[in-house]
Amino acid sequence: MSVGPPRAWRWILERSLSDEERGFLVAELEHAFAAKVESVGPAAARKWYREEVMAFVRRAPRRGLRGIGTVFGRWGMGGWKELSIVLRGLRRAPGFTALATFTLALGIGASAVVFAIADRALLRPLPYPEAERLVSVLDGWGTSLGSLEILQREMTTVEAIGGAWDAVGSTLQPEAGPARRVSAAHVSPEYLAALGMRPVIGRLFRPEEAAPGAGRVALLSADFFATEYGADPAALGTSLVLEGERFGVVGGLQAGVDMPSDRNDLWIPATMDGSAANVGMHWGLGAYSMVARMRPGVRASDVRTEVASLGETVRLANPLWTPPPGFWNEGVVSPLRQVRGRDARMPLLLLLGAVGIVLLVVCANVASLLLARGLSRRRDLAVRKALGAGGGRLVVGQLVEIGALGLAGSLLGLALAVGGLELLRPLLPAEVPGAARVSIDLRVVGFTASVALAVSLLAGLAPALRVGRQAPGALLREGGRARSVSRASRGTTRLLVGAQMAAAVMLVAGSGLLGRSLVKMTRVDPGFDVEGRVTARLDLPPGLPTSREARTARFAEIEAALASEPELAGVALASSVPFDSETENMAVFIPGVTDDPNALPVVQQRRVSAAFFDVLGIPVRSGRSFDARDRVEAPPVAIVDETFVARFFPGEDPIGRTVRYPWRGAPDIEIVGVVGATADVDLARLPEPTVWFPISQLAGGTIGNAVAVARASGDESAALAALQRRSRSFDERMPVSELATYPELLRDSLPGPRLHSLLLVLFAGSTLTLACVGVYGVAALAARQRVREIGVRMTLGADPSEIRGGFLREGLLLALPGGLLGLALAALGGRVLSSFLFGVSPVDPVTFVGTPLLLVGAALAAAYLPARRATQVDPAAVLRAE
Amino acid sequence: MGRDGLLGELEHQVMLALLRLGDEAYTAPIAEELEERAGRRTTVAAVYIVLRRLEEKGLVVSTLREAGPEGGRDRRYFEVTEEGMDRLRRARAAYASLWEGLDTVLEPGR
Repeated sequence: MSVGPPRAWRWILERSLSDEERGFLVAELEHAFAAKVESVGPAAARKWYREEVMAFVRRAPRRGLRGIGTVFGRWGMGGWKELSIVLRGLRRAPGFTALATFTLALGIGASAVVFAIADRALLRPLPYPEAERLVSVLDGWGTSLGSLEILQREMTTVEAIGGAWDAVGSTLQPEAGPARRVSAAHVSPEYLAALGMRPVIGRLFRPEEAAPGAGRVALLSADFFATEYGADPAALGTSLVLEGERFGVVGGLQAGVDMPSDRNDLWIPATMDGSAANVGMHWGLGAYSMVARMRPGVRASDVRTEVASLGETVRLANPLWTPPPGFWNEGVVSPLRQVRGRDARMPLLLLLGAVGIVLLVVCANVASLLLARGLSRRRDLAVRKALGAGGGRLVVGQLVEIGALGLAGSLLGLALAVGGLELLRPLLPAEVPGAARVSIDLRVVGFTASVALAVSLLAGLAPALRVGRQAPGALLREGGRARSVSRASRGTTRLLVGAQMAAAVMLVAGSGLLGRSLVKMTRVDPGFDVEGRVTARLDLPPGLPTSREARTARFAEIEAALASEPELAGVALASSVPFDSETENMAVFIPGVTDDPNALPVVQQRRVSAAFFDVLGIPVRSGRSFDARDRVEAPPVAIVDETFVARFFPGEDPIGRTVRYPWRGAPDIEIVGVVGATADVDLARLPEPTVWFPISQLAGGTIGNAVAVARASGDESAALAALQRRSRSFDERMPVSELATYPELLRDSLPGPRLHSLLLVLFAGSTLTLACVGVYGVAALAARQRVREIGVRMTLGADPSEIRGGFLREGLLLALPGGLLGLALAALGGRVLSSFLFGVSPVDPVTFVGTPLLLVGAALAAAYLPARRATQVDPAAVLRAE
Repeated sequence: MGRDGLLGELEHQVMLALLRLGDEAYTAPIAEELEERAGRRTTVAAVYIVLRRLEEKGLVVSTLREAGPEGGRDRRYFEVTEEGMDRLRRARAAYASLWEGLDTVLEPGR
């Protein structure tokens, strides 16, 4: 006999038997196997042997867990068997399976997306070594290099302190092709050292490279290194032309560096030049944010104390102006981790809260689905129990079922999350740190898995235990029809549906409030005409003379060239325009108003060409607009807006008064006109006081780029195309960027509110849907259970509409208590939202009346379907079935 | 009849197969006999479990016979005890009395 039984299976068999049994059963089976081979062939014999072994394995644990028994142990084997039973059961109930899976997927997907964003922004450790030693040092406004220099010299609690200015854009002139804008951060060499950055190639900046007159050098971001140089180390030693200056490439930084922002393509050293010629830049440009690395063992509070003690020195050292006392108070030092993403923290916490509510609703929903399914399977379970399946076994069965559903839901949910994140990514506001790198990675998958597990347990445990407790006799006597659902189980279901309704109402009300604020924001009058206006940023090509006269002349030529295009009905140039990426702030001295040179107000300034107010439709309230009189050599003039007048000249006529830059020798600038106020950056904020200067006079220095605004004579896209084409033909080295229509700019100025509203609306919509599914489920179950009663009533001549009415009433009663509770919670929660609201009260009547109406409608709709089906049954058929 | 008077169907069949097999009554042939005679597909494991249960009830006894000098293997042989025989007889009598007069119902042609 050459053919023996399969060895692996024999091995398993041996480990499933007691010593005594092994003595003869193995041999007996071997013998029988040989006989089988003769009679039915080896393949069938092997199959027979496998089945035999499995039969022994299943029995094995009675003898205790040993060997293979521990692997295919009692629960294990039971589990496998249960799994096949469960999968069969799920296949037989496709509606339930699909609903439960989709519900779980919805909750899990939503939580994965929100977690992925929040994880990047708030939870993940900073990508710098020993990041807990990093602190941010920030005075009220942003620090000047002059202040930084003193801190660097005096501070002893930190190893290094540096500053960075995330300048918005610089013109890069490649060797070939048109120039374009890149993002170059100006950093002091100590900044990179403080963060603990390492170059991937080359080196970081040397301290002497910040000295005036040092050779200009640049570091590349990982992305820029990859896309511009193909990650070729030969990039070292080459040079690039930025703003007309040549910079030698000395190194490339690691990926994931997001300081000062994650948009930076290049880092260049900030020049530390405190000489008289540069005093304005050195002390006046309060744009630097500072990061310090604390010495080991030093606490943030120590740094705080030291900065506060140095504050007076720094304050008095400023040759331009003296900041108010307390400017360098103790509040300026905080752990870097807390500062990063500070603006995103509240919205993200809000979204995490919302997603938590969604998850709870998902739990409640799946739990009621399972309960309902448990009821309809009572007979099945009772039979299994009567046949000897222990209560524990049935509980395991239920857990296996919810486990299988949870797994399917997680996989689908992750797929939804990956897709959803792709859709959301472009909408993520810039203040969310790491927004560009948000992805569904292992951390998110791990989080999702634990959420899925928790949700499954939460949703599945109660129904599972209930199944285990049921007495089979009682169930069988009922004939599985569950004529009367136990009071406890109906109570549980009602509770679950009520909780879902409460959650849904809370989210619907919340999203209603945010949605209405968003609508209000978009309806804010920005103070100028938006429709048909287009803008583009033009950078003067490098190599032009930098004198005021030359630049003024060049701007005038550009404006005239653009105005000659038929698609553009009016063209103006400005140093910056409302809602573009740059704002210009200045401390202003107003003779006769601001007497204290140490308490100067900060206002917004813009430099514009004469046509500007006309092109944007900004009304001139009094005095005059800019015109041809305002040449370089003419006396400097300014126009102020209504907000400025209201703040500084209340009840007075500002025409003929003057303003002045706060440094010595700055000329008095005469106010010649008043224009309407314009919103800026953010429709939700009140307009800032603004001073307008003629671009032709270039008060306050020269500028290298300008924003063109134009009124389209026809189609906006044709106007944009013309703007780009004409600029290029004017000078092909002139970078044209940030092409946009004004309606787009305004819309894009609300990324945060839009995203929050969008997400909340999505969450609210899904919870409401889930809650309605809950109402529907309860109503459908009741309808099924009362088929007989309805049949009898209809035989006796009951009016179907009356029966339907009863169902609708029940649906309403089911939804109302939860709904009211939700409304009360929403009223409380409105306070949390109030900082996100614009022009809408936290107890906005429209929202708080509309939400219950929506809820009632949805609940009635959910209850109506089963009601209709119930009254469509044929009474005779029902009674026959009895 | 008390609870110990009940014979399960498989128990009943296994005991009958045991009697039929006589000297060759060990587990694997019993399973085969069941399949052949009663058309009942079962596993050795199930038969073995039933046999052990019957043994616990005192209806069968088993002896382990070691392999003879000419080779072969250890086997556990089962025999029906007197109590087991008694139980079978009672079962048969009970069935017979239940069957009385039912032949025509099942096979009307006779």
